[in-house]
Amino acid sequence: MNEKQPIVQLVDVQKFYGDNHVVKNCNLDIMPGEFLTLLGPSGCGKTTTLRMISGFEKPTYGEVRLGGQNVDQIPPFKRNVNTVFQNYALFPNMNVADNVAYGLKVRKRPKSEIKKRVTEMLKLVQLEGFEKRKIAQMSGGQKQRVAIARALINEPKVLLLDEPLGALDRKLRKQMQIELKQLQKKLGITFVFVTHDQEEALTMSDRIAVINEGEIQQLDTPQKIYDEPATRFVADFIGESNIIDAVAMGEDGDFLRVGTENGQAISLMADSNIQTGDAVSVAVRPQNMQFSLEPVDHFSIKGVVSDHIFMGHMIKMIVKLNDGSTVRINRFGEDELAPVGQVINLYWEPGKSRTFRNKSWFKTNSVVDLQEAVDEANATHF
Amino acid sequence: MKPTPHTSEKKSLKDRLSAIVLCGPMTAWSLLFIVVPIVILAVMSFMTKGALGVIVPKFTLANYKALGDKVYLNVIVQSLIIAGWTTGLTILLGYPFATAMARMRARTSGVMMVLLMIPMWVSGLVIIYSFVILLNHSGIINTFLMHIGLIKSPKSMLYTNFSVICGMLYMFLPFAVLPMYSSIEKLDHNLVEASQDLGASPVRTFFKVTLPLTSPGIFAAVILTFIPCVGYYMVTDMLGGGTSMLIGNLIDRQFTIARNWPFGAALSMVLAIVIFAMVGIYTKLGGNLDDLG
Amino acid sequence: MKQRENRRASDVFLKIVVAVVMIFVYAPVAVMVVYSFNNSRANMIWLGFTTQYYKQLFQDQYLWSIFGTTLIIAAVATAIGTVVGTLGAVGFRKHQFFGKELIHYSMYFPIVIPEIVLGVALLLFFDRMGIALGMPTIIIGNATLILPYVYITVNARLVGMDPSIEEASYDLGADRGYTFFHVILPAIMPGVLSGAFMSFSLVLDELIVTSFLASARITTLPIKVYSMVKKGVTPEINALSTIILFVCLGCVAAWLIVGGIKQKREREARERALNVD
Repeated sequence: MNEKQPIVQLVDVQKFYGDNHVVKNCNLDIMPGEFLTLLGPSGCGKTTTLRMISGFEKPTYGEVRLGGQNVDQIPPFKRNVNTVFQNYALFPNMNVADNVAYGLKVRKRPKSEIKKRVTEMLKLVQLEGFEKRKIAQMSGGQKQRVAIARALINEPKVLLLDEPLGALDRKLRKQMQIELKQLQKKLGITFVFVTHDQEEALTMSDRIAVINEGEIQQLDTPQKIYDEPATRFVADFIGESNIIDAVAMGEDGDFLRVGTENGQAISLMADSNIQTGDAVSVAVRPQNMQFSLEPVDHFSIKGVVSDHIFMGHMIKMIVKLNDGSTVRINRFGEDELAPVGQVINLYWEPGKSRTFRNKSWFKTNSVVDLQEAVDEANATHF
Repeated sequence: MKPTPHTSEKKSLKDRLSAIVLCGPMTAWSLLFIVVPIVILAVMSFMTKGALGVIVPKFTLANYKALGDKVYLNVIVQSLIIAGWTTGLTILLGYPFATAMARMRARTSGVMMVLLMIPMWVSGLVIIYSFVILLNHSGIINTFLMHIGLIKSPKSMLYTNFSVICGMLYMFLPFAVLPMYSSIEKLDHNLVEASQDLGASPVRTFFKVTLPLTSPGIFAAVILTFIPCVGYYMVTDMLGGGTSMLIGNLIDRQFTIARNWPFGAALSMVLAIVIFAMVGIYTKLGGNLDDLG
Repeated sequence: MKQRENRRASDVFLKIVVAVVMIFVYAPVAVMVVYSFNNSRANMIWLGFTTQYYKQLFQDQYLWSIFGTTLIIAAVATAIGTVVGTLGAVGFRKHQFFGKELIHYSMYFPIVIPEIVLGVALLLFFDRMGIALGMPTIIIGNATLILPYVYITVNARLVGMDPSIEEASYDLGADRGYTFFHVILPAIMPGVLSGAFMSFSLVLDELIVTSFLASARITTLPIKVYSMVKKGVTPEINALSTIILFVCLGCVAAWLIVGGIKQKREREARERALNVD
């Protein structure tokens, strides 16, 4: 088989529950050996997508292919993928060894082989000596390891993990994240990981598919997703962003000038996709947000500092804009702070913001009206 | 244009096979031995009785009209009185008993429950025969009461409504305690404390908080007592001495002595309909059918 | 202070109720036990101590054969009810089909309607179908009576079962049959067993449905007991019941002792597990 051939393919997959369109036109190629995360808020269709790969759900339209083969007619128990379930789904009537051995017992492998493999798997997840333990006597983290060992004993080509760390406390979760990533590297198995925790997704994945309302918003490496979010949703969901909704008003030299509803204007790096009159969202990370006491060229966003929040390694400045919305600015170490109550001008370096075209959110569509509002605001404030 | 959905999203052959193996036997059993017999019972209640108990397939309402007869009305009223008394006493004794159990440690309350059930496992009927010995004219209770000087001459207690109610209470109290216990035990004690914290007296708290919240258990107990009470003719046979007759006895008679099956069927239908109405109210009030098991 | 007094007052009241109920329940039991040693057939007056009814009980061939019949009926009816009810509960949770609601609700019929109505309905059914009364009709009647109990207890267990363990089994390569016997059945076993136990004890004691469906040639222990009790001739029955009573009490004592030991062991095991973490 060709090295470049994707191991899991979703082709034009759609899923309906009655009238409920849960997965909308999903196309996804998962490559052998990669750690791919399906990331999104609860109810976004990520678990349904995973369950279509494992075979517990069937797509309403489209195809799921494993190793290039359409698996529509293949029930879950004949697919060479295994799942680590959300609440582990360990068999309560069996001890640790019997749980792990289950996949091999089903296949009627010889006893000696089963015993050897179970020992190997328990060693892999660092649970040697726990063979005879009952499931009820295991802690959350231990159950998690048993579930992983049980899923891996069949040597699946793809391991599906459905929010496997959701039930663990924060410290244990961090530790398991690292262990899982190391395990995946060591075994070279493809992991498809479902989570709603963006931090988890960023630290573990080779690639992330960000999903919202049944649609893949962006599929890329964690770095790219963080630095260059493709949609307003991704910018908001991954990391922290200040999002300013505005309308493109026209060119301003090399820049694009946008105005907000309440009469503030910004000039941004020109983007060929955006035309005058388009509704746009401008996203700026808090650490890229700058302020000045003096007016700044190309920017006319003013706000009042309303609070300082101490976060340990940084201080978050909360700035209230005149439309009531807030903007957050992260200040590190020796960075200068503006006192609470101070009026400041906000700006950022060119290229440190992302601009997205929105479908339609704006109430006033007339650019002329907007320009007047901006002029008026400038006249009163400056 | 929308593509056509996969046919595979529908059930596969093996899915159907699994459905048939799992659901088939119970579905067949229920249709054959529950649904069809009830339908036959309903039809039979409109049939005419011929000579020597032969059933004539001729539609009539006579069986239902006969219920208006004074003799039968008496039986129905008496059934309701006895069932009502039994149910009332069951709740009055069972509810505090269940409360006491809920206050005990889990193991102790388990033991109490078992102690309550043991006579039922042995055989309630054999044991309630002891009431004959306890309650008769020269029986233990009369002798005892006369001995301590509470009464001068023996009271007749056996073969009265009193002895029947004693027997009924004996048969059904254990089963009625269970649902009341489980709803009292489930009651969030914080609510009781919150009520008292807000200044309500214990009595007020009981009537405003505890009782309403445990009412599903009480209603389940009512149904568990009332329903079998109306139909349970053995107790009246043994402790009623022919003086009291319940609907159950009347139905039994139609099949054993009178051989008037259509009338017996009509009586059974009336009984079933009354019970369904009660259960309907129970579920409307938020009761769970499973608690009646 | 006042609250504590109230609590004490209510505790006293509850204790009195418990005492009253226990006397009410056990006074007739005591009478039964005592009179099983009464040297009188009529069973009304105390005529001295004897164990002759225990001896008679063990020699009474007829009673033992009835007891055997009753056991067979109970065992077969329980087996049918348990298998059909368990399969049904599992299937009804998983599958959808036309008329499922009707069947589901019909399962509550035998529980909510008085037994006498079920007995009458089945009698009419067998009569119309031209099926002669006898052992099979008794078994069918009793199985119908207990089927709902199994269905409900297994259902309750299924509600508490993590549904993903079934999927986990398929995921690991097991087919439907293997999954049913190795994962689902063990998980719902406590429900199946308690349903079966309840059913068995119900059938052993069943009188109303059985008496409607029994022919003249066949008698079960409850029917025999009832006819004897009705006539007031009961010393052997008292003896039998006394034996059953003490067997029950013995079981409870054993259960308490074994339960205590098990509880202690489990607590120790849990502590050990927590220490490892």
